[in-house]
Amino acid sequence: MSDSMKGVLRTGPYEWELPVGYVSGMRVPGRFFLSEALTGTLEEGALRQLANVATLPGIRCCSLAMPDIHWGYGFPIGGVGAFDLTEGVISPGGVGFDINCGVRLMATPLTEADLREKAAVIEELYRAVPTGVGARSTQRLGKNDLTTMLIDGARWAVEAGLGVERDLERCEGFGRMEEADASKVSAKALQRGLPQSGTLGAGNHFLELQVVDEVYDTKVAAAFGVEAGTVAVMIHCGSRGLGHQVCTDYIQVLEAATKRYGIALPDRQLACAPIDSPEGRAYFGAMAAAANYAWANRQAIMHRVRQVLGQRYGLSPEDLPLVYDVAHNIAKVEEHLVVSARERVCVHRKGATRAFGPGAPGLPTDLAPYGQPVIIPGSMGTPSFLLRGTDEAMSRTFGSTCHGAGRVMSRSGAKKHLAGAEVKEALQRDGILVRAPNDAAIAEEAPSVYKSSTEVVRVVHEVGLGRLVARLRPVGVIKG
Amino acid sequence: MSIEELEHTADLLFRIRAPTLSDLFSEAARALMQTLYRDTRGPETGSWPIELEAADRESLMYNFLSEVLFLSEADNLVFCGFELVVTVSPPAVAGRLVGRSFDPARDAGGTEVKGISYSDLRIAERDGEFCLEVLFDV
Repeated sequence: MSDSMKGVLRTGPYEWELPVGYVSGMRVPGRFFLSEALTGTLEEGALRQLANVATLPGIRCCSLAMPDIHWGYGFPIGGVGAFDLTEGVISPGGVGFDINCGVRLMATPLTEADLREKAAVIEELYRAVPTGVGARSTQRLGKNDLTTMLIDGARWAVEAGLGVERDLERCEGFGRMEEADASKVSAKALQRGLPQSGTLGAGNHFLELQVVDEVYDTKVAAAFGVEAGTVAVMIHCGSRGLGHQVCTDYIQVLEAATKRYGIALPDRQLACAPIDSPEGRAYFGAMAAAANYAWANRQAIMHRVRQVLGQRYGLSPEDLPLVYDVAHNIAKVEEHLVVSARERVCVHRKGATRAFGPGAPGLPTDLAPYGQPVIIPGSMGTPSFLLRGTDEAMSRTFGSTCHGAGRVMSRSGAKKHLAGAEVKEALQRDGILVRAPNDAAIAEEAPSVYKSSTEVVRVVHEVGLGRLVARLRPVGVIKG
Repeated sequence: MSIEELEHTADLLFRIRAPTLSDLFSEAARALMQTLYRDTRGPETGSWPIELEAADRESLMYNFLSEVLFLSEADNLVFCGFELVVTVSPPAVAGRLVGRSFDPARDAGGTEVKGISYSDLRIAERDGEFCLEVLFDV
C-alpha cells in the first residue's frame, strides 16, 4: 500500500473511506472506489481534496470520488458531492473552469475497411474543426445568437441547421439546462465565447475516429445504436473561454460571499455560497448558461464531422446518429434517495459522469429500460468504453460514475521522458494516426501518462457504477 | 529570478522566485504567456495598460493573471514584456503589458490555459526574495 493511503479505511474489495477527522472540519466521511492496483498511483493531494469537500456546509451522505480520482484543484478530479438545497452550498470548485466539458459519441455505418484513405479523412476533419490555441470559429455569430445559445443549448444549434431533432433526445438533459440565466454571464465571458463557438480547444480535448471492436451486451448496444465492427466518432470538449471566464468571475464573487456567510474553507478554490442565496443563484444561472454553450459547441462540431463524412461517403445526418452526449463538469439539481428518503439535492460532478439507471427521470423513452448511455474516453492509444447507467450508481453515487482514465504522469514529466514524434510513430505502428498542432501536445497526452482505462472501467463495472456495453478502439486522433 | 515547473498530475504548477513583488508579478505573467504561446519574443508592437486592486496579495495575483489571460485571449495578444509596479497597502498593481498580435503560424503550438487556480496559490517572502506557487488549469 502506498504512503498516500495512510489513514484510509478499506470498506470493501474496491471501496475505501476517509473517516471524519482525516482533515479538520469534516462533516461527513469521504468515500472512493479503486482497485488495489490503482491505489499505487493515488496522490495524497487528491485525498486531501476529497476530505476538503467533506467540510462544506450541507453536504449529504459523503464526499465521493470515482475510480479515476486524481489531484486537481478544489474538488479532486473524479469528485462528486451532493448538497442540501436549503443548508448546502454551490461552488465553482466543484465544477471546474471548463463547465460542461463532456463527451459525445456518434455512430456511423462505415467499417474500418472504409477508412482506406484514413490520413486524408483525418486531414479533412482537422481542417473542418478549428483546433488548438488561438483557433477561431468559422461560424458567423451575433450577440443575439450567443444569448439564444446560452438559453437553448443544443436546441439553438439544431434550429440553426447544425443537427436534427433526434440529436436532442440523445443529449444528457436534452442538451439544455433550463436554469440558464444569460444575464448573469459577464461581458468578458461573452467576448471570449463569441469567436470560439464550434472550436475544439486544446489540451486533453480531442476528436477521435474509433472502431467498435468488442460488444459486451448485444441487446443494449443495439438499443444504443452501436454495432460491432463499425466506425464511431468521439468528440471531447467543453464551454471554451466562455465557461472558463464564468468560473474565473464567480470564484471572485463567491470568495466575497464565503466571508459574508461566515463559511470556513480549507481551500480558497472551494469558494462557495448557499445555493439559495443571490450569489449562489447567480453562479448557478451563469454556469447553466455556460453548460448550454458547451452542448451547442459539441453539436456544431459534430455537424462539421457529418459534413466531412457525408460528403466523402454519401451519408446523411440520419446515417450518422448521435449515440449520446454526457457532461462531466457540472452542477445540477436532481432528486436522489438520501439515507431513507428522496431529496432534491445539488449534485456537483467534477470529472465525473452522470450514470442514471433504468427508469430514471429524464431519459428518452426508448432508452429508459436500459439506463443512460455512459461514455468513458480512453487516451490516444487506449480504448474508450460505452457503458450503461445502473441502479447501483443511483443508490451509491448520486447517479454518477467516472469520466476517463485519469492521469498518472505530470505534463512536465511527460515532456521530459517522452518525445512527441516517437509517441506519434509508436501509435502509427499500432494503426492510430494522430494529427496535432505540434509534437509536444502529443507527448503531454501520450497513452502512458494515463492510468489504464481498461482497469478503471473494470472497477466501475465490478462495483456496479456502470455496466459495460461496448469497447471502442482508436484508429485516428485529432488532438487540440 | 526563476520560473520552475513542479510536479502536478493534471495541471501545471509553477514555483516562481523574484527579488521584488513587482518582478514576481512580471515573472508570473511571463510563465503564463510561455505556457500559452511558448515563444514570447517580440517584435513588440503595442502596449496595454493594466490596473487592479484586491483584498490581499494572493487575490491580487489571481485577479492579475486572470486579467492577463482574458486580455490575451479576447484580443488575440501575445505579451512579451511587463512594466509593473505592485504596492502592498492597499494591494494593487499598475503598469502596462507590452506585446504583439497573435500569429497563428508562430503561436498556435502552446498549451491552452483555462484558468488560474486558488488551490495551492501561495506567496511567501524568504531570505530577501518573494516566492510564488501557482497552478494553471490546462
